[in-house]
Amino acid sequence: MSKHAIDLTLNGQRRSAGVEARTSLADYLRLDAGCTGVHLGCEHGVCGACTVTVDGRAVRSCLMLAVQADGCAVTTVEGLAAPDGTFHPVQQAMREAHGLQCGFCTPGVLMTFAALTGGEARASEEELVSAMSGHVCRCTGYQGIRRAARALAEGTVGAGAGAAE
Amino acid sequence: MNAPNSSLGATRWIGQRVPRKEDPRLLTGRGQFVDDIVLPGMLHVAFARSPIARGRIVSIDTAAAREMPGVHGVLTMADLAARPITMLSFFFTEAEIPITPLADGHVSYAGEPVVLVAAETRAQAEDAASLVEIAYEELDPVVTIAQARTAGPIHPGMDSNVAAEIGDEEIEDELEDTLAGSALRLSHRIVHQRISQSPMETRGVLASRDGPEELQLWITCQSPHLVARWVSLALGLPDSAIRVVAKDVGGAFGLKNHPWKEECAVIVAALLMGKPLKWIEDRYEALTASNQAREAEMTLQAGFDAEGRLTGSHGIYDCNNGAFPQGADSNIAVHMFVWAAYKQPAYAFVSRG
Repeated sequence: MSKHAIDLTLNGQRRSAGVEARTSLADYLRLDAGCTGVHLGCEHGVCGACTVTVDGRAVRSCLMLAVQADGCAVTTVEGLAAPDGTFHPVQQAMREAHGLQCGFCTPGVLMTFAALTGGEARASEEELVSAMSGHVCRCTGYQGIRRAARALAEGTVGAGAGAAE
Repeated sequence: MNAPNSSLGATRWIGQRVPRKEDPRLLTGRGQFVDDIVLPGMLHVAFARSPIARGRIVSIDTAAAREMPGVHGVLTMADLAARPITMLSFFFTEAEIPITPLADGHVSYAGEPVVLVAAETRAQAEDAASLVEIAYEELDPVVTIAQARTAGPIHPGMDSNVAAEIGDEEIEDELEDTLAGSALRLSHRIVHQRISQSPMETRGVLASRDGPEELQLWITCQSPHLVARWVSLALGLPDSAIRVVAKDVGGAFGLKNHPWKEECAVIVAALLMGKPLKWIEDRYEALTASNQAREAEMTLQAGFDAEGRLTGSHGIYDCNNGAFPQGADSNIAVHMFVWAAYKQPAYAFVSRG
């Protein structure tokens, strides 16, 4: 198998790697870079668990090749919280709203919400709920995730009675 | 009078919102699911599976697979037989039919694992598994409940395709008289589709033989203790020889009660090869070859008096548990739900699986 050299920024750190042409971004992140928070639920682009952001946009890392990430800035769930451990607003929102149970689909949901609410992006509740159509969750019945979406859209994360700590 | 001390005992929790202690790790990518565990020298497993629902295995050619880079082992059931394992039912009893980790001479469902390949990467294992040549003599598949009634037994040496039966399809005279004498007699047939558990985290196991009586398993499961007991009985090893770790589990829905064919094949191969083996089921495998739950047909007759009160009923229940149910089971619970839910003077049934 041919090897290809790639350089990318992963969770703020520069990384260089040699990858096979067929290696998916998800396999590179899990097996090479140690980002085991990237979960593979289907490897068909259906379940959304492997979602990461590439240059700020939500991407299913099972459908993107590692070589295609050359020169890109990739963020995984491991890169969401602040260096001191303070949760990103999407993590705080999901915790307060009990938006997770087993936690397998959660990293992908977080990355989609992060892409749609970070920086200048200000997605509405409807847009966030609509984006959830790209994620399968077997535990929660989605209602906790919907509450998290509402809190993110309304800017009430950490302000309501649901604050956990 | 002393005020209750709210910092002690159950009063700390009652009526309080309790933050889950596992959330911080699951929200930051620090969860530990089976596929997140890496051991030194670990090999990855892929299976060559049956593409047909039923047939006799004529030949297995593994020569090309063995030549592939990174491949450490290509094992058939003949190889695994060197370390016997007794696959048990959910009730820890021996199965009524021989159940082997890999297919032994014949296949009984599409996706049944036939050959185990262990290689340095999953990609290499899949490459090699795709080169295993298996020749089959195809037999008519037995897929539906209707086919199972009339077809010959899919398991050689058995009388029929019914693994468990309780009750009588014939309605006894007394109940028949009650139904016949009722103001209203109804009969209704209900068909319930197959249930596929489909957890977000597919099945998976990492097995490491650390010593003659030291087997360590990381396995996605519903109860580590149940798995440890099951594996110790299946392998004939003391309880203390098995350590099971399941820190985070991505859903189970009844699928992951105890190991089944693939997990047992990996465990036995790890014992034989002396190297840690990891198998993570992909979604294609999960949808093809994971055990599924009941698919059921029920014909219920009921009699009512002029005021609409139940006078009696009779149920004929058949459930399709597939070729290798985790224990012969006719799902008698269905009838318990019927007689517990309604006040009725008489109920009789037959239940078959």
